Amino acid sequence: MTSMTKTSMTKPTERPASAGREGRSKFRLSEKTREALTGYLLILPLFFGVTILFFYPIARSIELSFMKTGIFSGETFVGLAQYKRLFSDPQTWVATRNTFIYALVALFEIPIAVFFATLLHSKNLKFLSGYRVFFFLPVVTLPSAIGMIWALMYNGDFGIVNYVSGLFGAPKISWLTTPYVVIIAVAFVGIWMGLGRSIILILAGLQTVPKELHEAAEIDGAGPIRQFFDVTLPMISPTVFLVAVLNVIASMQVFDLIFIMINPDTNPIYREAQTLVVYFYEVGFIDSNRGYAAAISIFLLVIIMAITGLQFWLQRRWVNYDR
Amino acid sequence: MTLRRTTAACAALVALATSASAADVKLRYAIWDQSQAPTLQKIIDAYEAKNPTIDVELQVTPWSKYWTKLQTEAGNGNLPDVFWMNPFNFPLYASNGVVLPIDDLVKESGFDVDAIPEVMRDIYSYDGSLYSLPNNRDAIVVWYNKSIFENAGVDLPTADWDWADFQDTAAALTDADNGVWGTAAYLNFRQVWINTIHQAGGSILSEDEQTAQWNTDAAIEGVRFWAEIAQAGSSPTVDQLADTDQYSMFLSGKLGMIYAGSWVGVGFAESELAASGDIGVQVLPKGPQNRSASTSSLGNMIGATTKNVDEAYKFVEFMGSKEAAAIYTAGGIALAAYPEYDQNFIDYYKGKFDAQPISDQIGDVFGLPRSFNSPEWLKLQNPEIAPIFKGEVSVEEGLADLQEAMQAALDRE
Repeated sequence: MTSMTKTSMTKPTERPASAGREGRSKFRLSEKTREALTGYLLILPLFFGVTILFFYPIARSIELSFMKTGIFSGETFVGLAQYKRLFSDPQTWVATRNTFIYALVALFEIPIAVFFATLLHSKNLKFLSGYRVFFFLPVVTLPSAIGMIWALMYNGDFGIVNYVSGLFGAPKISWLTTPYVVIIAVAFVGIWMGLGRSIILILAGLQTVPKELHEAAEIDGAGPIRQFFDVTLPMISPTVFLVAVLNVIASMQVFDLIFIMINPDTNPIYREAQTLVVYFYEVGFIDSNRGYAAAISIFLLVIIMAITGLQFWLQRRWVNYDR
Repeated sequence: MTLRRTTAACAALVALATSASAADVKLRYAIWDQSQAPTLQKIIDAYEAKNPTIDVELQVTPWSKYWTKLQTEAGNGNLPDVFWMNPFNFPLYASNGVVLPIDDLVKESGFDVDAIPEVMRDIYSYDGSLYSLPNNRDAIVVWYNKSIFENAGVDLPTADWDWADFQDTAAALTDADNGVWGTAAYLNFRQVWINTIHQAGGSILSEDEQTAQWNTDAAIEGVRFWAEIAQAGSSPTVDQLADTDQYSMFLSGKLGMIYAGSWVGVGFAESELAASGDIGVQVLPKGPQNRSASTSSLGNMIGATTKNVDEAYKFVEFMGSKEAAAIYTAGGIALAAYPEYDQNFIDYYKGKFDAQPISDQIGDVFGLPRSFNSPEWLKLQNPEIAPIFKGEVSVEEGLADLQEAMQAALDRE
C-alpha cells in the first residue's frame, strides 16, 4: 500500500504536490470503511450461499402460497385463497393436532436423555464407551430402516411389541391402525431414534459442571438426589434448553418415520395419522397442488417460529446462565 | 507439422460429428417400471434392427419420482420424446397439450387401429382424438390356493360361479382358529370394489365426469358384497391387512382366494406356493349384472416438445404392433392388444399355474372411471370404506359421506 502511494506521488501529473495530503484523503477510504468493506468481501460467498439456499426458497414459498399453480406450469395470483382453504380444510386441523401430539410426546425424550446422560457421566460405570455406542447407534441408522423394522415390531398379529405386552396379560393392540395410538407409537420410535443425540449434547453439558460445586454441596450435606436437582440441573439448564428447542423443531417437521410406517394404500386410518409435513407432501407431490402445499408449509413455519419464540420467552423462568 | 495434424484431426472430428447427427436420431423413452425394462429393451432392439438410424434410449425413473419429473420437464419444454402414461394421469396431460394426438399420423401410415380393442383405445382417447396405440393390458381375476380348498374339502371354483358362490366358498374355507381366511376384503379401489360395483351395473362417476355416484344402488350393492364378507369373518380385518398385506398373506397360505390383478403373476410365479403347484386362477364370479373386471393399459405418449415427431411416432407404432406384442407377452408381464398372443403369456406360466382364465377374463373388461384430478378423490375412498368393512357404519351411511367428499373434490376441478 505504502509503496504504491509513493510511486503515485512521484508522478506530478496524476497527483500534483500542491494537492498534498488533502487530495489523498479525499480519495482514500477511512480505515473503518476499508475494514468494513473487507469484511463484506469476505462474507460475500456465504452471503450468496445463504441467500440462494435459505432466503430464496422461503421467499419463493411465500410467493407460491398466494398463487394457484398449474400442474405443468403457470401461476395465477389468488390472494389469500389458499389460506382460506387451509383454515376451512378439516384435514389441516387433523394434521396440526397430530403434529402437536407428536411434538408433545417427543418432549419426553429430554428427561429420559438427562437420566441416561447422568448415568453415563458417572465414573463408576463399567463398559462406559460401550453404552455410549449403544445409545448412539440408532442416531446413525437410516430412519427408513428404523421405520420398517418398527412397523414389523408393531404388527398387531405377529409383532414383538404385542407379544411382550401379552406376556403381562395386556390385550393385543393394532398399534398402527388405531387413531391417536398410532401417533404416540410413532413418536415413541422418534424418541428411541433421537435419544442418542440428546444424550451426547447433555453429556457435554454435564462435563462443564465444576467439581467444586458438587464438593461444596457435599460438605453442606446434600445427598446425590439433592445435588442433582440443586446443582447439576441448574448448571446444565442451558444445554437442556438447547436440546428442547432443537427437539421441538425437529419433531414438528417429522416426516420420514410416518411416511415409512403408515402406508396410505393399505392403512385405513392414514389420514388420521398425517402430520403437517406428511400432508404437505401429499398435497404437493401426489396432488401436484404446489400453491396449496406452499401455504401449508408457511403455516407450519409460523407455528414453529411461534413455539420457538415462546420457548425463548419462557426460558427466563428456568434457564440458569450464572456460572 | 503439428498444426497441420491438429487441423486434420479437427476436420475429421467435425466430419464424424456431422455425419453422426445427420444419420442418427436419438429418442428418449421414459418408463417407471424397472422390472419391465429387460422385455422392453428386447422390443427396442428389434425396432433398432429395423431402423438403424434411430437410437432409442430407455430411461427408467422410479414411480415415486416419475410424475414430478415429467411435470418439471413439461414446464421446461424438455419432455422425453416418448413416455409411459397411465389412465388416471392421461386426461390432465392431453387437456394441457403436453402430449400429441396421433390420428393424422395413424391415417398417414395406414396402421390398423381397429385391431386394438375399443376399451383400450378409449383409455387413451381424449376429445375424440387418439393419443396412443396401447399394447398391453391386464384384468382382475381370482387367485386361489388349491391346498386350502383341499383341506376344507371344498370344490375348486368354476368359471360359471357367481357372487353367492364366492361368499359361500369364502365362508367354507375360513378356519379362524388356524389363521386361515376364505378371502381378503382389502382396501383397494382398482382390484376390489370397482369390480363389484360395475358388476352390479353401476359406476362411481357419471359419464360426463361431473357427478360422483356413491349414492347409487349399484355402488351400495357392490360395496355391500365386501362388507358382508368382512363382517362374516371370512376375511382378516382391514387392520390386520394393513399390518400384513394381502399378497404376503396369500403367499404364506393364510388366504383361500384373493381378487388381484393379472400383474401379480410375475411375483406369484416365483413363490413357493407356485412351486408346489398350489396356485389356481379363475375368472371373477358373476354379479347381478355381469362378471366384468376392471382393466388398465399403459400408453406410449409422444411428448409435445419432441423435435422428431415422425421418428417418435414410428416408435410408438412399433410398440403398438403385433411384433412387439409377441415379444411383450412372452415376458409374462401382461397380455397384449392382440388376443392371438395370449398363448405366449400362458406359456410363460406353464409349470407354475394355468393362466388361461386371465385370457378368458380379458374378453370381458371395462375401463376405470377417471377425471382431471382423479388422485384427489381416489385417496378419499380407503378412509371412508374401512369403517364400512369394520361394521362401524352402515354401507349407506359410509357411502353417503364418501359421496359428499368426492363430489366436493370434483367441484374443485
